Amino acid sequence: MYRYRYLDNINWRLVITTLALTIIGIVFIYSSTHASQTLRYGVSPNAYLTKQLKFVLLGIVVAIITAMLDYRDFERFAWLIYVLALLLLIAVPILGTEINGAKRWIFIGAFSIQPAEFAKLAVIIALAKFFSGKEPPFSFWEILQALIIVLVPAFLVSRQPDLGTAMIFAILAFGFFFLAGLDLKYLIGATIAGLIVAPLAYIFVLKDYQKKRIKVYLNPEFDPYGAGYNVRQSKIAIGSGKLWGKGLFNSTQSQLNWLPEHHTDYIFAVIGEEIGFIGAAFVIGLYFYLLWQGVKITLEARDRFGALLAGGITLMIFAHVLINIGGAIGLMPSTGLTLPFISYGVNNLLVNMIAIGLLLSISMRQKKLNFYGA
Amino acid sequence: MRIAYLTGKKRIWYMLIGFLFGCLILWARLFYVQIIRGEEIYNSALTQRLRPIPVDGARGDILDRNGVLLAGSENLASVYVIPVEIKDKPKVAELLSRILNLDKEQTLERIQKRAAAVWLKKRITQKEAMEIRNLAIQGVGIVESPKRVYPFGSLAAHIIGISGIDNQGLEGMELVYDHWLTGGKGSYMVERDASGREVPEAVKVYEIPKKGDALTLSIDISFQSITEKALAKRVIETGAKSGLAIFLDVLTGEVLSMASYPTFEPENYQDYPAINRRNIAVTDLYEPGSTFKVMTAAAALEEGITSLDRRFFDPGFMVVSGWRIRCWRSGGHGSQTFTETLENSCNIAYATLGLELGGDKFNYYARKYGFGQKTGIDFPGEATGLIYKPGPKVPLVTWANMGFGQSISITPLQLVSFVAAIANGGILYVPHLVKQIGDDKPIEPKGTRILDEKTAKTLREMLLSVVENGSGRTAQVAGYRIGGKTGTAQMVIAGRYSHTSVIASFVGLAPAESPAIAGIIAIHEPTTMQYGGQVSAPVFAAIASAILPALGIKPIPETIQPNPWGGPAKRIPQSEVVVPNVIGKSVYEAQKELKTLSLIPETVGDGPTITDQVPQEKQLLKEGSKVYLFTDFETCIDGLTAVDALI
Repeated sequence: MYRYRYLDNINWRLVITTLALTIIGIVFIYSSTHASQTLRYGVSPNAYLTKQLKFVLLGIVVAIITAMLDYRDFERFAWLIYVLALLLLIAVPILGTEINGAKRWIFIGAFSIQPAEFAKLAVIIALAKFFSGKEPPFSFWEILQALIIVLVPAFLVSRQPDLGTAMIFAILAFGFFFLAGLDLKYLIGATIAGLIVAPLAYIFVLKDYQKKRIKVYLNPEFDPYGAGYNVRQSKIAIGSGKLWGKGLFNSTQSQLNWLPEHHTDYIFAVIGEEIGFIGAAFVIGLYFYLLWQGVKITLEARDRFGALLAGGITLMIFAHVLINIGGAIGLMPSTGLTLPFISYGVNNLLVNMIAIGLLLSISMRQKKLNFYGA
Repeated sequence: MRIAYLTGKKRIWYMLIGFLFGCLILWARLFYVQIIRGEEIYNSALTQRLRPIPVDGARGDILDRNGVLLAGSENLASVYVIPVEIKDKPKVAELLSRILNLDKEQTLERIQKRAAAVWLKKRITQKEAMEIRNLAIQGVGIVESPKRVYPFGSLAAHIIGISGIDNQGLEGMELVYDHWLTGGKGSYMVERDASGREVPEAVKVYEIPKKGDALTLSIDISFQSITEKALAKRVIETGAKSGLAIFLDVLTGEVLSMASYPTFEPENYQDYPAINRRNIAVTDLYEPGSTFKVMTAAAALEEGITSLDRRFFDPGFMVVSGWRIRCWRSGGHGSQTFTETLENSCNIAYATLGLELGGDKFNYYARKYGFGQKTGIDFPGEATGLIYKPGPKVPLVTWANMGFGQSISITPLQLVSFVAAIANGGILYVPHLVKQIGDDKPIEPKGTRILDEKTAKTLREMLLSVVENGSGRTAQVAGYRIGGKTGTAQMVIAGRYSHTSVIASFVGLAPAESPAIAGIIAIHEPTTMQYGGQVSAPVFAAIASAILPALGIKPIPETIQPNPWGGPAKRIPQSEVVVPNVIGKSVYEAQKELKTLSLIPETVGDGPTITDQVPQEKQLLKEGSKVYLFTDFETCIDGLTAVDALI
């Protein structure tokens, strides 16, 4: 499975970018929690920092293990992984614990598992597996099958409810069809259909709080102390950072608890407030660099499964970045998606680390270095 | 195996372009939020964190006519703790309990409370506050709130009035001038977190609220003190129920002093019965009795129905439409000049004048002279008084009774204002307590001529004669000529005139030849003596003897200057000395100078130089009298018992 010479082919740029983002995450988790958490609960100011450090170490180990595995093993077990993920999602309403009105977590001892996070990866693997054996043009049946692969977990997730993850599934489905080579006219047709269906979905599918978020997005001053509060506070935090920011650990909006969930969903607001436009733009730059590496790995993957897997993973990271940051700066409705590698939390970090491990695994086994020939 | 594993690398490149496009949108939006709207958002963030706490401006000071503080505002500090912010709780508890003189265990208990903030001690001293501030313990804070303070305690309490817990004026000047005294609205903005807690080392913006306008009263605190002491002393001595005294500056209508007894302390007003807070000098009506004869005399002179030459015969009684009116002196006063009728306070003469004037005229003049209506003083709750209007139900005898001050109700302030008009040559001024509002709003005297100057002069001569030769002899002051009229009004108790319950009063002006002050003393229900001449006239003399020299009016050695109206020259007491001015001199020098004049210096305070003296310079004192020398202001006030020596 593991071959020594693969080490020479590690995409160090990806590794370093990932680590850089992880470190930025650690710094800002510390910044946003050390003061306010102490004030509020009297817990150790380093509580979140130590926990995240442990998560990161665990994540790195998981990433290394994943990278050492041959990604083609995932192809072999794709359906098993997919079914396991579905089972976990089904288990959530039964075994899950409700937090803030949403059932997304299953607690096992001290660990809380968020099946939706892992489901994303499972869907990517399943779709990559599905499309690796198919070539365009796709039959109606094939398209339907692919859609079912996405829609089942998407449906389960949206029941939790978790609109953000459901959105990720939609983007993934769209992305896979695009990468796999679906005729563009279908994609354009689907887009138009989506635009027509969206208002209907808004009326019949979305829950009130989800509707509120969208209303807030469309009109930021709608309900500034209720549904609009988070988005408004986030924008205030980021905007008040101006060009250079207020300095590391000097954010006022987030440290004074004006900004809610500032170590998870709204951590980008802390970044924007403390290190300003320069820093925040740099972080986005880092993400772009990471995505670029992902695209390169996709291009250089040795087989169709590898390419689709790398493409899907890259797309997933992009979707998270876009939706999280976009939500924080008032570009789109806020959905509660984490910012990859930076947000506090073990589930998202592990999923992203596995994703990076897979990308590394794919890049280490890329075509040009395959001395065994095709 | 030839697998086109992707339809084309093109689409992967498109994906990259898509990513780039996405990032560009994020960058652009970030640029818009942070750079283009950054400044604006930054400010709105600050505004949000700086939650303003409205702070009331301190109430304006109330000063006496010389700028002495009568009511001021002091910031009272209170200490609070934020338990979660305090690290070493036992140590902090020990420190705070020591400074604030609190129980250590209790303090620690409070510091350990699971609460956002806990009051540790309210209303601490400035010294304690300073010590705590200097320690700068995190989690220990001090807030200040203005509180009204009255440096002189009960002095001028009725005039100053009271203000409530929320700094609103409730009585007296505090109420009347509340609009000016009330401070502006300011705000104290402290950076706060989302739950409203103050942030340590936070941005603080203190928008200082404007302090209320200062109020300069027309009263002189030393006159006020003298008046209150003299009045209180007399009320107690005579076993009376209550008393009042008002002194006016006759040329402006300014109140120089106004006292009611019993009194209260504005700061602790709740501790006194509410009745003590009544400023009876303004708010209570009484039947004036003989003092009102001055008004009848004025009206009769103005109307031309009498002159100084007219003679009156008093057989001791008269009958008016079946009603028998008696003079207070059984057997009557016999034949008298007009001046003598006032000296004798002859009821029959003034009943006659009342009848001669008749209802219409009497009512007209009484109103013209300010009776039966508010004087317009800047004091709340002024009474109006009652003067009968002629009508079918009003019997003729009413005008006879009113002629000598019965069947009528007035306020002491109305009467003294009228006498002040006699004193100044005929102009009735609106009495007022405030000389100036703020720095630039002086209160102009408002006056109306009510008497011919000649009439006023005649009345002054008559009043002088009352004191020099008549019932008001006890109002005489060494070195000054006093004019005045006594009054002993029987109180109406259960519908009948009581013979035991009286209001003994004296209304007067001084100096008679060129009056500067007019004053009234009224003592309610004295028990050890009854007559106005006995009870109240000496109080007037005591107060006038202190005020006149302080106003810069020189005493006249009578041997040199005869009575300007040709009356009998007053006897000069033997071996009197004129008090020199020792203010500004060293204690040693002052004492030496007084001793050489056979005066006894009594030094109050331990300062190096003399800042004040009682009596003031140029006053005549008997040899061996005490002169109080003050070396600093605080003790000066305590030392005002010096007045006792003058009464």
